[in-house]
Amino acid sequence: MEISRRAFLKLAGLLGAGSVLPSWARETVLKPRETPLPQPGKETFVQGICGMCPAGCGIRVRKMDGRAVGISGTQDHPINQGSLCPKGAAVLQELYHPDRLRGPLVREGPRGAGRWTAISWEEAVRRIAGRISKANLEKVKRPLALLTPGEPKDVHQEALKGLAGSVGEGNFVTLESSPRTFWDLDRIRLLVSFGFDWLQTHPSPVEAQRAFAKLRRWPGRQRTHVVQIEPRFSVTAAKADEWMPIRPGTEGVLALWLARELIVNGSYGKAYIQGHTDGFEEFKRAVEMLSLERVSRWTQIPEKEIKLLLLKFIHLKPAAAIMGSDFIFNRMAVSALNMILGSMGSEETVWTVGGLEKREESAERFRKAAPQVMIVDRVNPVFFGSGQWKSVLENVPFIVTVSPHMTETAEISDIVLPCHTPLEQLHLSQHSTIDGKSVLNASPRAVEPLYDTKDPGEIFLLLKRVVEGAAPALGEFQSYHKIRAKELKGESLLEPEGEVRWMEIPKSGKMLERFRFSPLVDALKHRVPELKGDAEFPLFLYLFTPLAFFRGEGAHLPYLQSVAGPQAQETWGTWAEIHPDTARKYGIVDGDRVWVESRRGKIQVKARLVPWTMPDVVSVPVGLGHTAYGRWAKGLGANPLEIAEGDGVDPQFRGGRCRLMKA
Amino acid sequence: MEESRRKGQHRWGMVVDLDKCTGCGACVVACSVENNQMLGSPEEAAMGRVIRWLKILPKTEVEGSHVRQNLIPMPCQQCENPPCIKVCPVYATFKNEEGIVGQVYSRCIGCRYCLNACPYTCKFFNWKKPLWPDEMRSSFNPSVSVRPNGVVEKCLFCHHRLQRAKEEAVAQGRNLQEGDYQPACAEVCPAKAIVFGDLNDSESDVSRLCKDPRAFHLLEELGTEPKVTYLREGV
Amino acid sequence: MKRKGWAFYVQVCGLLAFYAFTLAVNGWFLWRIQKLRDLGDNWMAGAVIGCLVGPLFILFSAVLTFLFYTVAVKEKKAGVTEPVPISKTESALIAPILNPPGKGFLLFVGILVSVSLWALFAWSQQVFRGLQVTGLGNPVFWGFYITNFVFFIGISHAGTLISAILRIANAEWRRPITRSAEVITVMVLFFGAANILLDLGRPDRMLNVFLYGRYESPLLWDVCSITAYLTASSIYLYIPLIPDIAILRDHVQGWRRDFYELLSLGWTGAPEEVRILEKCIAIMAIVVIPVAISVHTVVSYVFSMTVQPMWHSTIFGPYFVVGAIFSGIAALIIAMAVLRKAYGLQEYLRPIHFQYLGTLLLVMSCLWLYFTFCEYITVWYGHEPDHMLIFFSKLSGRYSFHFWTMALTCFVFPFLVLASRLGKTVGGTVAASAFVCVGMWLERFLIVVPTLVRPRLPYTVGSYSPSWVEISLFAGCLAAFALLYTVFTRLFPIVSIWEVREGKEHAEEEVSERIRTYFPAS
Repeated sequence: MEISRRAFLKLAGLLGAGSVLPSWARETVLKPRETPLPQPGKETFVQGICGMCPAGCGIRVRKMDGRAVGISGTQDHPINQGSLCPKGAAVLQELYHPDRLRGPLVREGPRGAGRWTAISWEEAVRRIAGRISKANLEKVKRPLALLTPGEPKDVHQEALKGLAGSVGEGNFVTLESSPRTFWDLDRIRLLVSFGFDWLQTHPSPVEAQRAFAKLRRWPGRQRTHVVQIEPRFSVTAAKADEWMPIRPGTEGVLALWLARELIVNGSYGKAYIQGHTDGFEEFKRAVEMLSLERVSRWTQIPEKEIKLLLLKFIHLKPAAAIMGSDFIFNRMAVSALNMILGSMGSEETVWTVGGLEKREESAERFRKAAPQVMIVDRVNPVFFGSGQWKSVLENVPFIVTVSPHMTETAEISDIVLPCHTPLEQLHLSQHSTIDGKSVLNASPRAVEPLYDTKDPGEIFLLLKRVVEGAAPALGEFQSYHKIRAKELKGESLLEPEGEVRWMEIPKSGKMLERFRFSPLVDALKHRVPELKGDAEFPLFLYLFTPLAFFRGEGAHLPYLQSVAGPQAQETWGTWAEIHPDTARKYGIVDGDRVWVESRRGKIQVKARLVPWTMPDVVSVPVGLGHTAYGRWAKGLGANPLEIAEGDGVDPQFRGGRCRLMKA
Repeated sequence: MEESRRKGQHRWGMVVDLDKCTGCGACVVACSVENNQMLGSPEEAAMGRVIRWLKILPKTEVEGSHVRQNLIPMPCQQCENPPCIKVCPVYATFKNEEGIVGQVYSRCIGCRYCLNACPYTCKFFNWKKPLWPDEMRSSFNPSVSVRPNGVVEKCLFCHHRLQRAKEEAVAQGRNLQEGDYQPACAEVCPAKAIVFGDLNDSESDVSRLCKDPRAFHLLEELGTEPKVTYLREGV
Repeated sequence: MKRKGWAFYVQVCGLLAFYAFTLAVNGWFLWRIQKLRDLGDNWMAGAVIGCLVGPLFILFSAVLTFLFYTVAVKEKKAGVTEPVPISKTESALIAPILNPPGKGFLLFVGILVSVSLWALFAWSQQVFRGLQVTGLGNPVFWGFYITNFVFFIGISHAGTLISAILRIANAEWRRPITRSAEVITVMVLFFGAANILLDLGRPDRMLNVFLYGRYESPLLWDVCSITAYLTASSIYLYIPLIPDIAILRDHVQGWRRDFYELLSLGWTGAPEEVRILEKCIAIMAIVVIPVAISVHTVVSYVFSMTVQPMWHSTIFGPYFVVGAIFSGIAALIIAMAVLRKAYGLQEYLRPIHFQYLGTLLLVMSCLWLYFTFCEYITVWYGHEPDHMLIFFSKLSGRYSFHFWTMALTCFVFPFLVLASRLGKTVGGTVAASAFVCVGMWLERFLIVVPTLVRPRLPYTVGSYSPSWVEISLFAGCLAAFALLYTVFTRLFPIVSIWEVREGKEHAEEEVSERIRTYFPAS
């Protein structure tokens, strides 16, 4: 009996274990161990303005208990018509970026040491105003300079201008201001872009994409033939009907040859030329020197293809040539071609260039006389502005940066003032649509500010007030914003629950004055690009900006990183597009790390062999290679602007010469 | 399959006009935001572990000096005859009665068989617990769950929006109409290249566009019958 | 009826447990099929599999019951026979069990244990951090674990299939080698199945396979066939072990005696018992062959049921089975050589055994070449672009090193060695087998990975290199397998004592009798 009891106990134990097992199993299987979602709360929708770039799109923000949880375009907004670009779609990440600045900071130790102390707004404003007043009293040549993005024309810029006006003159500098082009899309039959990757770098991204769709197919509209002349097979080139690879920097010569042939063929509007231009005859004589053979050699485009392009210009009318801002020579050449085509400058023409503001040769100006105090408003010249800006800023004794993030420029500043991100800002701005309408945007804050930050305009207003010796008034900017909206007849747009945040206003763009051929003729006399070999640096460095990093911003948002390089499927890093033949010469295999070296320095990037690039061109995207700017941007990739020769402020960069080395 | 083609039942489909699409990537970002997708990092990108339900597929053809590149926005193709659901051992992926291929995150065992069976490689695996800074948790879309480690996820045609549209329609005492429901990618597209609607409604835009001579499906020869139709580039 | 000891009741419990298992298997099929019908899902697949697997378990139960009744319950007509004394040569077979382990052995076990523990540590990393610790990514979703799964399942065919075929074919030379082959099968199957669990993103949810199983998925086919195979080969290992356990029982004292007492079912060696035992072995040998073939066919279906290029192939079933037997024989030869050396079994595992197995290996090598040729020539001739991408990645691209190493180690080297004089030696066959093991692992790798690296749609090409965790776990699986195998050799005789004894006593007569029947009488 003893033994059988033992067996019984064993059996019981077994059964017991068996009955425990299923419940344990059930526990593991059925109990989801997942991060619980935030409890759904009260859902609201507010209309606002995007503000991630100067385009001025309308957005609809989905809010849950005051938190922004969703974003979409405002259906009837004239600029975006219910859509968004990738940057706009990522606006929530900008708002909730974990490395945002949360209060004013003052630097400890030498510049770039990265040691900061939090101070109060009052203290920060007092210190800055003190510096400005002191510089002003000392009667130095340039007590204050303010650096700001050129666009949009808004209430914050206005406040900044007010501050600039209170201390001397000529101290207001816009970092970027590309001329806006207005396209009359309904009529255009041929669109030729001379090196302008406009689908990725048009100043109004949503409109550019929509314009393309319109050119392609739209009810009641003829299909437009789209030609892209560019050294790199860009997104625009991929989408164009034809891509003509061209040697970097020679687009102008091609445009001039086309102009010459159109003149020779007599297919230009004589009356138009007479009515709108000066110096045509000289120009006609000057371009005589351009033979097809020479142009083909310069541009590296086969003669046959150039002739084919000419035929397109002759037969597909109205035609338009567009140009990103690049060499002044190229820009003038393309403008001249447009004049010959009779498609530029007046109401009746296919497209017009509006608001041709002269771009400030900003960095140069400050090199001669550094300002005592410099306020950098939401731009990042140290990263985006090539080496010139770095050396200028080094000589400025006191730098203040206004930005939601710790940018490279903020890092070398003395005081960093965090401003609201677009969703937290008050908006009041003027914009132009791609087809030339003017729009007034105005909106209250879409969400309440998360941290101890301020509107950019409020900061400038406060500073102005204190510099002028008055006491800072709380909420002054809010009322200023309201008053300005009222003056512009836009007060109804500011209603808290309002559904409409925009209104159309009368056109404000200036029409182009008479076009003068003479500067171009002068340039042709002594500045025709020559074919120069460079034994030491045999390759061209061609820089381009993906839409995700347009204006040098966006690398700090992880969702934008994912869409940076759709063509080569490259994300989260800087790459160089190299022709396989060139790569073979240097013993480079797809995916290798390579050094791209110019006379200014070298950067390490990932080599991508793409058969569709030009053999002597190395293309590198701009936007990565930050040394600051939050956890996702910092230390990722390389900044080709550090090795580029030429102007870094343009949306379309000039690279210069380079060579490759396997890393 | 026949069930979902029954009259009165919706069958959701998408048409992407490649002639209009510019490959800008707005749809990718909008999809990520809408569906609380992982943030990604250089390390994960190098390992191919970044999850984007919708991505831009570059399809390049080089003939001598002539290049053609199509940038194709690729969500789950929502096959009528999905190879992925057949191989699932635990019923974690299935096709619902409106034709949307779903995924049950709480049941998936993470065997990754469905990912291998999908000829479009449009399903994704969570190789680790997604990392979210606390600040960013605030912007989670409350309608979409955050996926745990070790399970498969995929594009669901923003099914939560359909759910919501249905509830609203019921609340208003009417039937669900086509315009009530748009996935985030179609809504955001700046070129209006993505059209979404009911394939069972022969009057709808998607049905009309599906009959366009330019219409084609990816890997049509496999007989998966995708409900995402593409319109070829060109006249 | 004589009074039964405690062992009898435990044995009854064990049998009842097996009944319960059989009942559970059948019940599970019925329940799931009903559920699937309710859900409107494909239930036919379940019905087919259930009809095959369910009765199989009933058959197993019947065999065990039959055996149990004969050996443990039934009163034998003849009385208890005296245990046959162990001869001098035979003492070599039970020496490892009776003698305490030596220093070298302990060192060996120590190494195996440390490698296994290291693998356990690696696995804990995977448990806590998820599959990010592997080298996998999009689109290479499967890698080392699945390769190892297929490889281990392949090795498992060593055993049972070879031993069953040889038994049915009445090949008398099989007698000393069947046991070692069968043990490989049972032990390695665990690691095959374990690799699937290692591969799961959510191993904590693995029971979902039973709770929500869908028979339409080839993975469920795997679950069913591997379970059946593991059960069948365990039984098939156990039954011929019973007389040897009885011998051991009579030679040990203390707890070990109880242990063997329990497992021997009270075996007395009565002729009736032997007759029934051999009948059971014959039944199991027949049953286990189709089960074994089904296992590797179904493993191949995991790949070939998808539409992926170079997976979607109709010959994958037989191709995998041939590869499995091929690698199984190779593993067996290596195991035998190790046992021979370690335990001094030269008398039992003789060069002739190696030579015969070597001949089998040669045949399988040629068969493998034939299948490989068939597989690749059709792909190449068809020249579908998607397939060709993968074809060339294997032949001349990224995986060409793997491919040509496989070709050398699976065919060229083994063929040259085995076809030459070396094929008759122990060393030669072992060398050929070592090549084959490496080559067959590479073959599995080449099936799993290259297809995934190049998806049909031109994404960025994926890439895969295993992480330290994956490599550690592979090493750990090998070490743990070797450990289990070693433990087995310390508990049971690795060469069947009674079968060899029986062979020596009766086989000669039987064989000459049989041979006589082959030819005209006069």
